[in-house]
Amino acid sequence: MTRLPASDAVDAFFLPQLDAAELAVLEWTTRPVGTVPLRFPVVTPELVEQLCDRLLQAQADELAERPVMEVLEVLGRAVARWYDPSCPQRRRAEELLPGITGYAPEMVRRGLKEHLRTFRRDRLLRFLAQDFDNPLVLDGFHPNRAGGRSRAYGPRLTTQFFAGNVPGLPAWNLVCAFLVKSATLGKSAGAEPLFPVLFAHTIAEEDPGLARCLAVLHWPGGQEDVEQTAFARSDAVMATAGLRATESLAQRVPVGMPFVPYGHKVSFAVVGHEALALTRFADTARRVARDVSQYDQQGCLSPHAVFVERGGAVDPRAFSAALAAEMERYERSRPRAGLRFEESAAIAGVRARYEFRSYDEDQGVEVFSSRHGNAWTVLFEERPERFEPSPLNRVVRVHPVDGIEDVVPHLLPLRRYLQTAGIACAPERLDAWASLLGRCGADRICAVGQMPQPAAGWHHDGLGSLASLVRWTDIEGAAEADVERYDPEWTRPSGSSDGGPR
Amino acid sequence: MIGSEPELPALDARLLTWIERAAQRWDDAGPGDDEEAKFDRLALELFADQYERNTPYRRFCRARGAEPGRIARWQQIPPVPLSAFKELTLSCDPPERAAAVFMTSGSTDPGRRGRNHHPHLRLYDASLRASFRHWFLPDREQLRLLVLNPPSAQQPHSSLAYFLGQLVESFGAPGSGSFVDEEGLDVDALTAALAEAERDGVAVGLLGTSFAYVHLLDALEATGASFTLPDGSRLLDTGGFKGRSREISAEALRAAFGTRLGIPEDWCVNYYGMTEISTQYYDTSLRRAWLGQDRGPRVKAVPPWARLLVVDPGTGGPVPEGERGLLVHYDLANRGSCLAVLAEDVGHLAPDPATGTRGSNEFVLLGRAQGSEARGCSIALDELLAANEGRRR
Repeated sequence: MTRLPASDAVDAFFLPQLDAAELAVLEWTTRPVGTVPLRFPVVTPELVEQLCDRLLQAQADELAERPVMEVLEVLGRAVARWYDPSCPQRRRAEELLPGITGYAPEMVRRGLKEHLRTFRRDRLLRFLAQDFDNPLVLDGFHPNRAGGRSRAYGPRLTTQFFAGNVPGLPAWNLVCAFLVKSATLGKSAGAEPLFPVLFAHTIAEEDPGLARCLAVLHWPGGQEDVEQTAFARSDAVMATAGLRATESLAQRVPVGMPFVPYGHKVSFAVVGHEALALTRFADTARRVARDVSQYDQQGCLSPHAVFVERGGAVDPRAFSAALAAEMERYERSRPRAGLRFEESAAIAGVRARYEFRSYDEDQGVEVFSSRHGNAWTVLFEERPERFEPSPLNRVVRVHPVDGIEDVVPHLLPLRRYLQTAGIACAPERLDAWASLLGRCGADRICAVGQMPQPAAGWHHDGLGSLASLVRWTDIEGAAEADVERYDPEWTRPSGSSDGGPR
Repeated sequence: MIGSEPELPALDARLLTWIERAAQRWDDAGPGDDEEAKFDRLALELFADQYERNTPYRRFCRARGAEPGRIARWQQIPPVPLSAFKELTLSCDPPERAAAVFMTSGSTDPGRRGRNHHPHLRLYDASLRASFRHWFLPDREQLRLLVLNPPSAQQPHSSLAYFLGQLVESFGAPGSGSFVDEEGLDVDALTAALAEAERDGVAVGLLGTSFAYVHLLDALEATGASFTLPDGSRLLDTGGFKGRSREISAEALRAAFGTRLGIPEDWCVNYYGMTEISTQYYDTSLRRAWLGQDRGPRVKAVPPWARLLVVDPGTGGPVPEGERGLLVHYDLANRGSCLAVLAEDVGHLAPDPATGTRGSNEFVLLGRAQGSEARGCSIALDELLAANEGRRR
């Protein structure tokens, strides 16, 4: 394994559009992210303008007319390179991302591998199939249900704001943009700017032409002159960002331009009494513990709370104890990242509040927590005032319920923010649960234990990942029939009088 | 009240005697070994009493494996977080028999106010007088005190109002009083009092919250008025700007005190106190200037009857030398509830001015610990909670 000398900064940008001379005249800055010094070009409106022009040209040359299946094959092969443990970019990611993010190396290694599975060649087909009855509409006009033909055009250029909370997430957005044949101007996240750069390098090794349709930079979010320049040349904006940043972007994205925000979301789990059978409850607890602990609960997909149904072989309080034991077990193999002062203080605060409430038996509160330090916390609470978001970093509340209907009042106030519902129940109840949870705002129902890994093609945050980016052009059926009138064979002046439509 | 008070319980009487004697022998360099041993003994004794009589605190200690006899030093006494004063009734005596119940303002959550029960205020009074005299009034017995805060009668559960009222009662020269009523700060009366002091050459002491001074300074700026208060005039402020629309740095505030009131920077003293404890921590600047010592960095001092630890919020253990952490107070005057209190304030110990090493009884207060703001999605939690709150209102 190569170790960098401490003075060597890692390049955290991907700009194949610029040659060495052009790169040399840029202004550069180096800043440590976590423990890793990273080197970035200083982004100016002029640089963005130059890049956008070249990205648009590359898109016209390399992407616009390339068949979608060809693009898919390239992406599939690029992703396949990451399955190989000796893939240089993967090794780089496994070496550097723990230092950048503070996440346990083993969690980064497994997390990346599990996440990238979502983009195997066959799964990429599902992304297409989810949003298009016939994916060839991305290449040309194909029959639609209304009797005409339609073609879907992706943006020529999409400005993307990548997430930095969970390594690997930008792969989803990148893949989606490529599948609709859009070039990408990507702004990496300050907290983890490296993964999209490494992934871009892999694409470049597989297909340099395609890679020229992708640039990755970092600028401080909200730098208006830079963003205005980018938006003016883009056809779409896609952003994974917090509420305030999303609101700010929404005000600045030109009217009529597709704006696809993946804002902050809250996820939760519901455990039915069937999953608390004596033969099942320990396994259920292990799955929930994994969902909570993966990436220290930083992802939108991580549960904040678990609603546990009464009436099982094990009651919700005992389930909380089992969950606590599994949280401890997970911590031993994949310890949580070190916390910043404020994060630790937040956990200490919530633990103390619940502990004091637990002194009063009538409160129905119990605190289970890691013996030393604040690695994990399970807060059992019978009568929560409301669905309280977790301070994260492996703090989860457990609320007993008498049935799925009891969950609804807790969800409704957060309906705009709900995302994944992990569930564990008998098959005959699946549909009823899903219907109710969907009505409350959840957009993904998955098995407990699989919350951090959305399936390929998922309607991400309730939107079509590809469909939200494309615009349609329809040829009306009547037009197709009508143009027959202008077939030169019929309109050619001739003396012949036999044949032809009357 | 004085004179008609019932006799103190034995332990309280000994605490009072010790605090008063410690105040007389106050050494700015900090306690010697002898004093330290006495503090330790009294702290453990007070802990045993509070453990015995304060039921929820006993439970809190048991959960941490701490009980009298099993701990050897004051540093091992479990500090209660501030939220305990909101969630529990942390009183050694029946709460209805308390001489005073001081409550937090509840600016963050009006429904949940912290409450500190005092069976009597003799220790509280002794503490507040000794510190004020030592750090704010080393040079004289009395001073005309102009208070920018409502009188205690108007805010019976405010420890601040009580504190300032006691100061006026104990140290106020003729002309002292409060310049805040139900209508707010009486700027006209206050500026008249300042003009009078300037004209007559009478030194004054202004007392109030940092925010109250902002009102005064705004009013002075609006009229273009400024004063050059006589030598010996000084100013005491406390608190920050939590929940206020404006924030001003302490430096900017002191600069304005200089230009608008003519009070030298060193004679502007900030103190740090809170409802949940019975001791205040003052800037050392005024006393140092009075003693003709080097100014040094602005720090706050721990009085002889209190101790301060700086801890890591994750482990609860002390942070490495000089690093910032949460402040833990060990306050022998906090007799009615718990002597050990974990604050939500952040600070670090100051290097010992004499030796430049640790072991200092001085510290730098950095402010309140902010809520969780961190990687990725968690940044949104505050926003989300705000959205949630917005929905409820």
